Amino acid sequence: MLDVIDLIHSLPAMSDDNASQGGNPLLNGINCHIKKGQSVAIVGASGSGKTTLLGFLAGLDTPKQGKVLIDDINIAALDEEGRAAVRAQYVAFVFQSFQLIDGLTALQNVCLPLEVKDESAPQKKAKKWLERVGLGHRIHHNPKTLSGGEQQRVALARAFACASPILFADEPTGSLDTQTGEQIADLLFQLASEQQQTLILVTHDLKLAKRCERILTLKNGVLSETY
Amino acid sequence: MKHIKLANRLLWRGAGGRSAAMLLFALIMSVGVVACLTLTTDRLKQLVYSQASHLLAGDALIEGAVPIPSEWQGQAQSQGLLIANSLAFRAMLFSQEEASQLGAVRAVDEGFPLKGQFLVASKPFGEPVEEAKGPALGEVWLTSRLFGALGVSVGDKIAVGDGEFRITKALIQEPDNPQSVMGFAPRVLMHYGDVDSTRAIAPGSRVQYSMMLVGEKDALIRYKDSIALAKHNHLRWNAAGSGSGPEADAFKRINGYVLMVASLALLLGAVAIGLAANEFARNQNNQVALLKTLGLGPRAVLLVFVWQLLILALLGCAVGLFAGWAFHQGLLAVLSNLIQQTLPSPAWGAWTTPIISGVTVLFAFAGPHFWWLRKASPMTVLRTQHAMALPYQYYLLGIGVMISLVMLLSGMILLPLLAFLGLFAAFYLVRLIVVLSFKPLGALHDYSKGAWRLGLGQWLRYRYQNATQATVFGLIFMVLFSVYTARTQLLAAWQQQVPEGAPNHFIFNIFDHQKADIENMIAGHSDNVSPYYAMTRGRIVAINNLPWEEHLQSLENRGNINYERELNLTWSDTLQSDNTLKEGEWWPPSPVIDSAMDSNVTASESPLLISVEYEYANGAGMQLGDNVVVSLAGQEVTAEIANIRMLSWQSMRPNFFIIFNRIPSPFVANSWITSFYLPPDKKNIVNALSQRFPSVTLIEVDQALLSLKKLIQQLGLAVEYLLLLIVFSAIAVLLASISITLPVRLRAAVLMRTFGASRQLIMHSLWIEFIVLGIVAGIVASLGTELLMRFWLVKTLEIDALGFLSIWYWGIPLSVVVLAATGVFSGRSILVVPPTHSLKRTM
Repeated sequence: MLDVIDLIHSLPAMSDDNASQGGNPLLNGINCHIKKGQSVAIVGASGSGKTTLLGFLAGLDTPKQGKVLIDDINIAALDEEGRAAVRAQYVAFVFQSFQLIDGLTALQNVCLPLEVKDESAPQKKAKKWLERVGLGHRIHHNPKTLSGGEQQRVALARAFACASPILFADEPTGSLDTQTGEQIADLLFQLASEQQQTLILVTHDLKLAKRCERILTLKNGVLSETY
Repeated sequence: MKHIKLANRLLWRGAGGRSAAMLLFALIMSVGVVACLTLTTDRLKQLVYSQASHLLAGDALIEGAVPIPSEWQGQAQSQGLLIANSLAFRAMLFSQEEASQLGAVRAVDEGFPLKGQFLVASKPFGEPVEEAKGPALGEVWLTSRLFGALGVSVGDKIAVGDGEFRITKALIQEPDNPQSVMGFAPRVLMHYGDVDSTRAIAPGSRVQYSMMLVGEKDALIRYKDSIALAKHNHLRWNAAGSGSGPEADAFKRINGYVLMVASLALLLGAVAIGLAANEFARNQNNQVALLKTLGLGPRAVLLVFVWQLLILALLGCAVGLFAGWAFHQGLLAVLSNLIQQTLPSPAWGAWTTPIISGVTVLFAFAGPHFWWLRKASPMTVLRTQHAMALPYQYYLLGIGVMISLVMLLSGMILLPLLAFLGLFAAFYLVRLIVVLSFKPLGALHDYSKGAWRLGLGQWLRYRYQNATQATVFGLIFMVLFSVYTARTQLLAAWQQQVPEGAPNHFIFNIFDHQKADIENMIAGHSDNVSPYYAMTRGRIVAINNLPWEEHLQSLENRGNINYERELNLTWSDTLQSDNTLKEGEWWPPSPVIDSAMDSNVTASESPLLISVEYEYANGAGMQLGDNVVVSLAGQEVTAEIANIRMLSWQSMRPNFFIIFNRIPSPFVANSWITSFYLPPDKKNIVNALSQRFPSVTLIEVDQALLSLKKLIQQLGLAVEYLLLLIVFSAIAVLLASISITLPVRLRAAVLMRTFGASRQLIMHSLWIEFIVLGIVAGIVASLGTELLMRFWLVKTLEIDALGFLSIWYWGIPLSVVVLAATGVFSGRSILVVPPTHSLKRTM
């Protein structure tokens, strides 16, 4: 489903010495293969390059070298338009900061990706997913009036509504208290499993990471399997 | 379809909802103000055109000293034009008591007047009533003073030449006020069909033939082309609204003013749209990133924004036009006492111009932001990234479009270009001033304490953003100051055009023996009497040994002056107070000249010099040092042009194209001329003067002045209303821009409050920061206004001497007061709510 081959990336140079070496190396030859339906956690210390790697895997950014294959499509070689098409077809996201649009209701937020993909009956699907995450009674509420946990539930509904094969979750419980975080994590794993989605979770929370089938640790620019 | 839905939803309810509303407001304001201006000017133009038509008694006039070819009449009628004829000549008038008087007879046909009406009374100087047609066959109407001169009343009979006619009315005013055309003898109006019976027109008689036409402008132009008028030297074409005169001047000026207000309203709209679009783009950055993670590509993002711009354009134009119509109706309501006629419907151009202007400004200033937004990085959703700033070249596009738009609106090329180059220079000048002030302000900051240190520190930390903000505020103030200054200058110029108590009667053909008595009589009733000038008539016959006609034929463009006609000439050793020398020197006074003013002394042996009026000299290609031969009742004298002077035609004092330095010949017979002011309650002196001195000629211009005054009052009110409109718009834009930029400015104050700074310290530091901002904005505004006024206003409003502009006294203090008060007032909210709320609001 997802293959990463010899992925290399460096940060812009801060000094002349670094510049001559092509900047500060961040990802130094990443290789991995993730199967369909698998749940994988990427862990690492702050600044280790987790978020940068997530960006490359999801086709939000392009690395300097290497390949990222989703269903054998090398998204690293695509232009922005091509990557957007791949994202629309294969990828869904859950973010740490929820990324809901304030002016829109919970229902409209969930409808958004369905409308972008021009799917039929978006409202019906969105409503179904909001009920599924336990927010059937708050579908017309503005995100600002919802609690953090409720906002992340809306974000989960938005992510699952599209039935994308791969779900990227960036610190999905990072902005929530322990109890709410656990509830959200339960829901995330339950729904991903039910939908047979590939879940790629970026977190520094080892407890959460351990719920995934695989844990990949990013250290010194290299990704290694943790058993 | 999905993009339209998405565009509409995200436009109003997305992250940029508030700034989208501001964008819409800015567009509505631009379209509304421009629509109000185009609708008003278009309809007023038509109204003034129709008033000007009344002054010609038609939409166009062909006149001259030779009969108008009869086939032209048929041609006009076949082209769907309405026509009327009149002719004017002089004839002796005799009463049955054998009193006589030379009269200026005018004969008009049944069609006359095609536009406007006569004012007549049932007795001399009686209450005027309107009359649509001229006298019937066998009847005449006399001007009031002729009744006294001939000793007749309404109902009596008089002889005009060989014909006898019954007087049926007193003529108070003719629609086209033709007195000036025929040399000012008292008027007799008769039917066109009665002319032959007078036998007053013989070969060689001076007759003025006129044919008035009414029709659509285009039809008139086609007709003018079809008759090849240019080939007929002795016939002239005069179209309503195209001529000269005070009404045309007043209208030209209001057009210039409106043009400036429209251009500045567009500039204001551009500032507001630019600011709102910038804010919109800043807020949209994250949203675009999110949409990209959901699979929307750059092309689709762009499509969404194009739809959003179109939705804004559609709504903005619709509401803007409605608002413009409402403003326009408001303006008409203000002028309801003065505009009593039903205004013609506005032309299509009056509706389309604001739409084109508004949409162009929207796309030029918001478009680049939207175009740039498509590049927002989707990584922003994972990691906080600042939105990429719009490169400067994109602003150049907007500025370029704006210049082109103003060029199109104004029909001028160089002035808008210079104005915008000036603004551009002012922008960088402000940055330079800010950079240069950095060192001294930095030193002041190092030595200062408390609020001064905080306020100056804040200013210095954000100096470049401050410079940009100061320029934006400065531009808004500049619009206000410019419109206000233009309005003040315009009203002052109009005031000068019809000064209160200016002479409203001319009297001439006064002989030496009558002068003392007339002087006494007028002095007893008027407190504003012009000097008495000796006057004779003459004609230029040669210049620099070349016959005058040959010289004139060699000229390409002579302007509107008739150079073949006889001139009124005078001689004087002093320059008239309202004349100014353009070239050459005025001659020194000499005792010989002084005596020549009052008596017929022999001519001096000193060289004969003349002073020529500037436009007259210009049109006839006359230059200093040229030798001009003037024929004075058969005597030819040669004089050298010693100087060229400018006249003030508005002074209502006797003015002369040519003035000699001394009496040009000992045998010249002269009479005297002067002008004087009579208030309405002293009008009866006119009758008394006419009765006692029947040979003198008295012209009443009070009615014409009154109409001009009314027109100017009307236009003056329009100017004030437009000022109000622009003031409200500018205040709205100012408040909007302050609300956009304020959170950034207040961030430091909020942090200070969180750290425990006292209210007093925060308030004082805010005062200092905003006062510095106000000073810089005030300098930009005053400088911009000064440049705009000097380069633009002087040209478009035809204001000769602008003088020192008062903005330098009040411009900077006003901008300081407004910005400091608004800034500090908004800052107060930080002090009354808990810091956590303020932090949320400004972070």
